Amino acid sequence: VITLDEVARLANVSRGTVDRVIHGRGRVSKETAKRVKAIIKQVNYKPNILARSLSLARTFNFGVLLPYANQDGNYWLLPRHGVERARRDLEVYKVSVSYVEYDKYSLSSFNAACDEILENRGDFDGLLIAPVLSEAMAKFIKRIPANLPYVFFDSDLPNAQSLTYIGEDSRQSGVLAARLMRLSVHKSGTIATVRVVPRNDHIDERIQGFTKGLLGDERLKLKVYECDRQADPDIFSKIFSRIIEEQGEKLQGLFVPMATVAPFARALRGLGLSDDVSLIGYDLTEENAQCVRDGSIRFLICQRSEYQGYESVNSLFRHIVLNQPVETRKFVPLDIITRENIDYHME
Amino acid sequence: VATIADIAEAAGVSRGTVDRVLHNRGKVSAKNAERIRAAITNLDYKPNIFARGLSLSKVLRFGVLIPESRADMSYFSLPAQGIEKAQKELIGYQVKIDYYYYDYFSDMQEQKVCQQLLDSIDRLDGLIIVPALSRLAENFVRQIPPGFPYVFIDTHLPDTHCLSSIRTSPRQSGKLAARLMDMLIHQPGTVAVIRGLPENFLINDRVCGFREYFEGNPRIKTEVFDADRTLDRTIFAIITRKIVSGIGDLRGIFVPSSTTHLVAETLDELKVKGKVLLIGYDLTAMNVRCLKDDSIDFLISQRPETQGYESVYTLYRHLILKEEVPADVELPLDIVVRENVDYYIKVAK
Repeated sequence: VITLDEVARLANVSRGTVDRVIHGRGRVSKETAKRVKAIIKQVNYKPNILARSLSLARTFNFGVLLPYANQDGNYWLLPRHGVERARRDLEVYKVSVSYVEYDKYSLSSFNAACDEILENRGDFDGLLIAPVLSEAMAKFIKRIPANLPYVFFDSDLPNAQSLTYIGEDSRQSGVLAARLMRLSVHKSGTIATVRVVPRNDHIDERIQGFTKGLLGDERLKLKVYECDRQADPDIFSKIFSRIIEEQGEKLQGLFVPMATVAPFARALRGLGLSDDVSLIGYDLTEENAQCVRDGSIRFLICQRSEYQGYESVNSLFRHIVLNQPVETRKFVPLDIITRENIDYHME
Repeated sequence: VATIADIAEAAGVSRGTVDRVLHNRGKVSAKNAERIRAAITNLDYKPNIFARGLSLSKVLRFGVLIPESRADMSYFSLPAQGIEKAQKELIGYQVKIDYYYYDYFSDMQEQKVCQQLLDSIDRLDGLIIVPALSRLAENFVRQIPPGFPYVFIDTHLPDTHCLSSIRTSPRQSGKLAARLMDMLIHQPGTVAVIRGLPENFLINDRVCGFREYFEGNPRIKTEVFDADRTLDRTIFAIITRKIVSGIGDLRGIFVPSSTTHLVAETLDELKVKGKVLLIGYDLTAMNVRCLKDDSIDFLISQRPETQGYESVYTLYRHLILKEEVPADVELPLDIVVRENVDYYIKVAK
């Protein structure tokens, strides 16, 4: 078996230099890095990870940038559970995580969180990012130092240099929702959907997929309602009233392309419309789960939120600590949840 | 931090004896084993698995007793994908798997393969068992030496000393299929159930759950048709034809086994595709193809890869990490349609 020493000797550099090249950290001249990499490949050197993490006593800290756990009906607790599980699994490799949270409906809160990360960038070996505020996030990404790897989960940002993306194919999840809507609505009429501003690419793609999926079904007409959540925290109940007022008995289905589904379910139930209007939404938050159980939400589409958190940490770990290749994009399965299979998905 | 030496001292035994207890290997008197376990608990000893992995580069060898996955039983090739994934992940351990295949269609209570497995059990650290033929499996597990760890996947066998069973709930999956039928069928009518292998308790439980859901439902009637125990292509075709021509108000067909594609092919030939809703089980290659060309509407999947994956980890946690493992794990039931099938297949690979 080839050792680090031998690689160093063959490349005529120090052990430290070989180590820096393997980890992609610190300063190494391009020429040296190239030579070391060629030799590693030539002699088929495989770093002994276990020995390394034991002997170097090196610690690894990953920063997690995400919205407050209690936003979107406590949705953000779900990926966090996965991050925590990975942290426990990887504790023995001296991996730790630090959360930096923000209010997703406040730009200044988001910017403050970004500044906090950049000011303390020396403390992080990698970042996990849920890029919910598409525009502001794109600006932040540009300021991340080149030697700090980051992983996107929840949603993707095109043209970013992320190590990987772990989450759903948003457009396809909209297509799936449309199929379920077409199957579960038996009469002709209107399907309503809500779009929150400020707009978010990920949610927009779900709506685009949904629109595409409904095409060709002449029975159903789609109507999109926009609502500004930033300006009015109570906007959902107002928009619901407007939908009912405008559509009346024509309303056959309601597609909520985000985690805040329960308020719509409760409102439908309040009017005794749960059996007549097929409500399809996203994510297994506690309150959504309750509405699936009482029948007021017909289907939920779930994007394995817990797994997203777990796998994001794991990908960074594999890249930074184990120096293993990581898939550049990992789409999670789109789970369909209804009353009869919800219990097993909750664990 | 407590070390093996500390435990040995506290229990008044040699380090080797502690090691044997930790690894469940070799002979240790019951009294000594008890004392050592008490010392481990008192001193809160946690084996340094990574140091050990380095020094021993230990081999874990597991036997897998599973039906042969020929033609229509290709479902049983799926758990192996998860087993392989776990093998790759457990760095520091060399996990070796020996497969022992039995014949799902043989009525014999004894099959040679079971004896072969029992003969070589000393070379193994644990077993993963698919107890699809319950009589065969019952007879087999009775002969496993006491204390030897084994895990069931796919189905559970009651009244055994299994370490854990990792599966989905068949009754609940029948109810789930019924709910989907109920939501998606527009007009009142009849749903036919084609029961292959009527004596198989897993399939039977699915049918029970399905019928239970529709009990007292004025809109939808259910009618059960039994295939014989061969899961034969011709027999499925004959039954499907009989159902289509015989039931005037046929709205859907439920197939509680992975042979759903056989029904799909016949419905296709009869040109009733799209008029009769078809719901079945498992993401075998043939079923996936039918799902994609719309001849199957819904498949329920029971995460066979996860079952395989978790079974390896369960044994690993028990043998190496000395953790308590859950006795019964019920995995999620996945609802799969054309629009989400690709992601399930990708995850499996």
